[in-house]
Amino acid sequence: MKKIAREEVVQNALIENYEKYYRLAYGLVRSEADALDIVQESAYKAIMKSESLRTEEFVDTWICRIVINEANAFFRKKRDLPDVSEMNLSTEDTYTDIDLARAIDSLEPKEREIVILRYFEDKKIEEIAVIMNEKVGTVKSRLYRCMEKLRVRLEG
Amino acid sequence: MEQKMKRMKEEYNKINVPSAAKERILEGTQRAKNEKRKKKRIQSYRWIGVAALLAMLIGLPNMNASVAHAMGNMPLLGGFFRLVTFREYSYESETHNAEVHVGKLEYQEQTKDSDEQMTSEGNMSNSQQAETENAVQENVQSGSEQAEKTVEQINEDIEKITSQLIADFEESLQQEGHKGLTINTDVITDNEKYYTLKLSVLEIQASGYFHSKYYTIDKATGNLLSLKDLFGEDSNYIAVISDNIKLQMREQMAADEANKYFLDEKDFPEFNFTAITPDADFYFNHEGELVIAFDEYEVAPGYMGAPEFVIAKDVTDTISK
Repeated sequence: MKKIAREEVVQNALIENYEKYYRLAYGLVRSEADALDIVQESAYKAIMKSESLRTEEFVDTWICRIVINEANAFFRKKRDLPDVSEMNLSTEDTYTDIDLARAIDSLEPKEREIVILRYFEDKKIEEIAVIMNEKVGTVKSRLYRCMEKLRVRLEG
Repeated sequence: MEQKMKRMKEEYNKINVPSAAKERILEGTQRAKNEKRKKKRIQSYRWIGVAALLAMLIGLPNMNASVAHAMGNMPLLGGFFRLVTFREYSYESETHNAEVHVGKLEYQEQTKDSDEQMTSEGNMSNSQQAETENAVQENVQSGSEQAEKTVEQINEDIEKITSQLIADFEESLQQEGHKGLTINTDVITDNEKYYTLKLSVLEIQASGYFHSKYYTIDKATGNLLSLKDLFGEDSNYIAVISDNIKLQMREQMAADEANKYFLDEKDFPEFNFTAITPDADFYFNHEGELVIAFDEYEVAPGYMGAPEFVIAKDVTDTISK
């Protein structure tokens, strides 16, 4: 792939799937304003780094990874700011089932990533491993652990 | 549970995407494009500089280390592999601790006066060197070159994995909670046919996660072996080995209820072990039997540890090369 071609592939994917990337960001940070910031920054980074995309088929996986990294950067920034209260799951929350929303919120950010990718975006474990830059075993262990957590919260 | 996840997914898909989302994506795209057109190729040079500096930093402390631990001897290739101390890292606080001892592989040509060579490499005269080289058969020579390449490849891989783990660990120092990291390298096998190095990683975060990687070098060729290299081209080694592993899993589960593998699992069907991959981790044990090694959680719940399965010789006899 030529440089320009790669940039185009990335740009097309961004425009075609923007709703998906927004949902992914929103699912992670749970606020419209923050999710919008994250998709904009992700689009910026994806185009800036489009040369490092190796294979066209993986463009979606690759962008998901950037969105997740951006969401993590957002959490890190938030943590470093003084006097920030817990994640807000109140005003803008569009989930209707409070129990389920709470259960998902009880997960660590990394665990939430896995649940969203696996169960909401229907990604394969191998793909999630690529997106999260982890070994398949790591992904499985986290998924296993947080499904246990969810089960306890939902059924206990 | 399944029902609830399904409902959760429906709600996820109902997340309202504001019209601003598309605009913001386009904004980000445009900003990047503008910036990219402006700056060009300054970056690549900086990397070369960093690489050269790194090479120096790595090279210096190890000049002495190379004399330190010589191990193994190796007739076929005309040289031997050894593991020297390469990277030490430790950190200790109330909540975080790390213990990293990672070796680096070296391949050393065996010469007539190898003792002398080890202490004073520079003293060999040119004619001596030429003589030694002539004496070495050509295929051995290409084997040696291959061995050096393989060693480099393994070292790079280990370096990459270790650096990433240490970086993750250091990032975790800013966060609350406990975290532990232990990394080791060990020589598992060193016989006349194979040399296997094991990289073991234990990550502790709430619960532990143990995983490892095995590097087996074929001493006849100097190549890094993967499982598929051991079997004939058309052999169905994946099915043969996988079936044997499933058999062993079932036997162990029948023998003791405490044993549990992800096999015929209904709650998490995607966890189920179906077959090994062509690049599955393996090594040869002291009896020369093939051992397939899995990481923790790969085929069983965490309390089963990192399972290993010895594949009896008669299972693979007919398909081995």
